[in-house]
Amino acid sequence: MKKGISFQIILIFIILFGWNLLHLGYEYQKDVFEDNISASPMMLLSMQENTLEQLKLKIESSNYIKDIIIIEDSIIAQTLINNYNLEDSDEILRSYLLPTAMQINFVGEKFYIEQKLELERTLLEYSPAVIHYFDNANWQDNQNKISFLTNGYYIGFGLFIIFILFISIFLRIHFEMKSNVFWKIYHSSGGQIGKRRKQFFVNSLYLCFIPLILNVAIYYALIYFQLLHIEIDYRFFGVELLTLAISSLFAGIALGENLK
Amino acid sequence: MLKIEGFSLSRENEKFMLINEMLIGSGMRVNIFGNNDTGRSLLLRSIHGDYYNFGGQILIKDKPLLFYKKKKKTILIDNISHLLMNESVWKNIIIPLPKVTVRQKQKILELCMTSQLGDKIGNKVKTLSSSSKKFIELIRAVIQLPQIILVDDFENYFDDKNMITALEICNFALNSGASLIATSKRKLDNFDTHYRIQDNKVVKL
Repeated sequence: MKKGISFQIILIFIILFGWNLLHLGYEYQKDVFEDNISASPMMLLSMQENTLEQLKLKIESSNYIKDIIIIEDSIIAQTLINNYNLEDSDEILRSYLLPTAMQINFVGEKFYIEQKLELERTLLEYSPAVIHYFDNANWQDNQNKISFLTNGYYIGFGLFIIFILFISIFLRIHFEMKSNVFWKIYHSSGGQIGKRRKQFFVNSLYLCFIPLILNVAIYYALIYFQLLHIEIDYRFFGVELLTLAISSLFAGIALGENLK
Repeated sequence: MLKIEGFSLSRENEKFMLINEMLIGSGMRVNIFGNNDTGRSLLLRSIHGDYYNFGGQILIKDKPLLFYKKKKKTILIDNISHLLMNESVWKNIIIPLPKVTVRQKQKILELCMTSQLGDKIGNKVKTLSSSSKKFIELIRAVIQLPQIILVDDFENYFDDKNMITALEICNFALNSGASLIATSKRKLDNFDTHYRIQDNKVVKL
C-alpha cells in the first residue's frame, strides 16, 4: 500500500475515533442527566387506597414509567416510628388515620415534557382525592441540560461530517494529483487502460472500510472486555461509512478526466 | 499485422504523408525515413491511436484502431522521456507489468545485461545517459510483447554500436510476432524494409 493511502487511512481513523468519542461523551453525559430524572420519583398521597390502585392500573403500562410502588398507611406509620424513634408513641400514632402513598419511578430517557403533561392530565382527573409531590425544578433543570447537550452534540456531529468530507476530499485530490506523473508514464509505457480508475476504486474501498473497521473493532473489543458500558447505535457507523463513501465519490467527480 | 490504406495527413489544406498502401507483417523491422516536418511522428501517433486527424484507414490484424481503443496493442517510444527519474532502472522497467513472472524477470535481467544496464539495475534513472534511458524504455516495451513497437527518431538516441544492441533487444519481441516501425532522418541499416518520404509521399524502397 502506498504511503499516501496509508497516511489518509491513519488520519481518517483518528478523525473517526474523535467522532466516536464525541458520540460516547454525549451518550455518557445524557445518561447522567437521565439518571438524575430517574432518581427523582413522584409521590402521590390519597386517603383511598382503591383510587391509587385504579390510577396505577391506568398509568403503569406507559413506557416512561419504570415502576410504581404503593405504600400502605400501616407501613407509613411503621416507617415513621422507625425513622423518628417513636416507639413510645406507637399506640398514639397507630390511632391516626394516615394516607396511602404511591411512589412512581420514571424512566429518565423517556420522561420528557409530553409524557409529563400526559401524566399531569391523568392526575387532574383524580384530583383532589389524590395529591402529588414532584421535584419539578430538578426535572426542568435536567431537561434543560439534556436539551443544551443535544444541541451541542448535533452541531458537533455536523461539524465532524463537514470536517471529514473536507479533509478526505482535499487529501484524496492532493495525493491523486501528485501521482499524475506516475500514471502518465504508466499509460505511455503500455500500462493497462482503466487501471487508474480501478486503483482509485480499490483505494476508495480501503479508505472507507479500514478506518471504520478499526474503530468498530476497538468499540466491540471495549464492550466485550466490559471496559465500556455505553452502547453505540450501529446506524451511527452507517453514517460514518456513508460520509466516507460520499467523500470518495466527490473526490472522483472532482478528479474527472485525471482518472482516465 | 499492419495495413495502412489511402493514408494522408493534412496541414492548411495541403495533404502530405500520402500512403497508398503499406503492409507490414509480423516480426518485421521497418524503417521510415525522411526529413523534418514530413509527418513521421504524426504517422506513428496515428498508428498508436493518439492522433485521429488523418485520411484513409489503419488496420491492425484486420481491425480498425477503434477496436484497440481500450486494449492498446502498440507501444510508442517518442522523443519525450517517459521515466520516473527518482526511481530505479528496475522500477521503471516493471511499471506497466501487472505482475512480474519469473520468466519476465530473467528476460529483463538478460536484456539489461545486453544493454550494459546489468550493474545499474538498482541505480536511479536520473544518473544515467540518454541512450541508457532509451534502452530502459525499449526493454520496457519489448518485455510486454506488443503487436507493434513504434520508435520515433530512432537514430537520435543511439550510435551505430548501440543501434545494433537496440535491435538485438527488439528481437525478443520480434521473435514473438511483434513488428518494429522506426522513423529516422536517414536510412538505417539492419532493417527488413525501408520506406522513404519524398514529395509528401511514402515510397517503398
